[in-house]
Amino acid sequence: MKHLNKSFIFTLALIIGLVLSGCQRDDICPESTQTTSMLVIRFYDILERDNPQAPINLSIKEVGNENEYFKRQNLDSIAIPLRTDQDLTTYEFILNDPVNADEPGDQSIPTNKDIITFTYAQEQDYINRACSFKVNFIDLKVNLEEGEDGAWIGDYFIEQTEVENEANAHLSIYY
Amino acid sequence: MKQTPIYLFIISISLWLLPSELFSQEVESDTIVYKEKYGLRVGLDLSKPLRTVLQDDYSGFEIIGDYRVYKNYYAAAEIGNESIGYKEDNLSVTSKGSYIKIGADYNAYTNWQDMQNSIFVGLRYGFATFSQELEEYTIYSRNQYFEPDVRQLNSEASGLTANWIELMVGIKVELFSNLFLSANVQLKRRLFENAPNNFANLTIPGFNRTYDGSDFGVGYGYSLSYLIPLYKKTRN
Repeated sequence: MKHLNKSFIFTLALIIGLVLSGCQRDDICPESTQTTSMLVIRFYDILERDNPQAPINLSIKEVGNENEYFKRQNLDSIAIPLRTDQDLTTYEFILNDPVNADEPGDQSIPTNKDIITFTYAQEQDYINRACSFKVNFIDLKVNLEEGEDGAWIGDYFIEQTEVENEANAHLSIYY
Repeated sequence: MKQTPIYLFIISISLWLLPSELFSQEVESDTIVYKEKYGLRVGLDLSKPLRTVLQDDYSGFEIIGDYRVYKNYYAAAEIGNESIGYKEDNLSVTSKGSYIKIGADYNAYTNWQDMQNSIFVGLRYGFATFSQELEEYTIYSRNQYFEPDVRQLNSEASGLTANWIELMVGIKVELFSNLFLSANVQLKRRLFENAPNNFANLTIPGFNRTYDGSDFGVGYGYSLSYLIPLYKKTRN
């Protein structure tokens, strides 16, 4: 190696070092990255509007979809996805959903289905090569249909018309 | 003769092992003059046509050249054109364009008489002008309730530019008289770039793929070149 001088060895070592140190993966979308936001809904007592109140055995299902998004949950805060392939998403909010139709279960509170249609516009945002693009929903509007069995939802309030992250609720529902 | 280097090696080792006083009186001025070739070396990168054949979403070529300016210093340049396809799970793009790299090589290898091999370090400034087509992408959603929203837009952003500096190390071996085979590895660092609106340059001709969160990139070259000797100069 006497024929080689130090500058060459140094450069080679530098390149190898930098290549090794630069080997961080960028092909996996990290869990912590905010991608397309879900719509965050909080439920409150219609009389005591500051009191969170979890609807009993709530099931949520997109109209026309065979599968429930979730079934018989008791949560005062939920997050539901919005469609990005069209500018509206329609969900059935089924209160006190029976385990199955043949077995009505606790009928002290009757089953009640309300339909909410969310309409919005979309803006695309590039995140990175692993997470690709996200959609920001803007100009959110809500339309409530009570269905055949009347409304269980008494009132709602759109907290944010832009759905970009899940840090805070976008919609409050009072019942 | 094949055995000559071995003899030379044994002789040089044995001379080295002998006490130096033995030679101290014998120092005479060496009158043998070595002449070295100076000229323009031009060639073609072999790896890019090979990749063109083997890889569906790649095509490219590169012409290389260097000119020996002074002793171990060479002015060097590469020009090329590439079309690089790039796929991730949620998007795919193709970048097409041309690039030029200009700089210098320094040969760190001391040749024996009449040999012209080199082990070199090089520095380049690279510039590319290209377009990037976003062929397909998925709107990323962590929730799987809806079917994936895959969009095929084939939207092309043109008039993109990028520049970078590049450090390379490599070897050049003279196969036959004046015909060289060369291999090198390259470490690149992006300086400035002009990226598509609301997107990024995922691959850049001449630079190869970029990395998110890092300005560095890597590359390699494997080329065949021919030295057009222009004049000879005494080695000193």
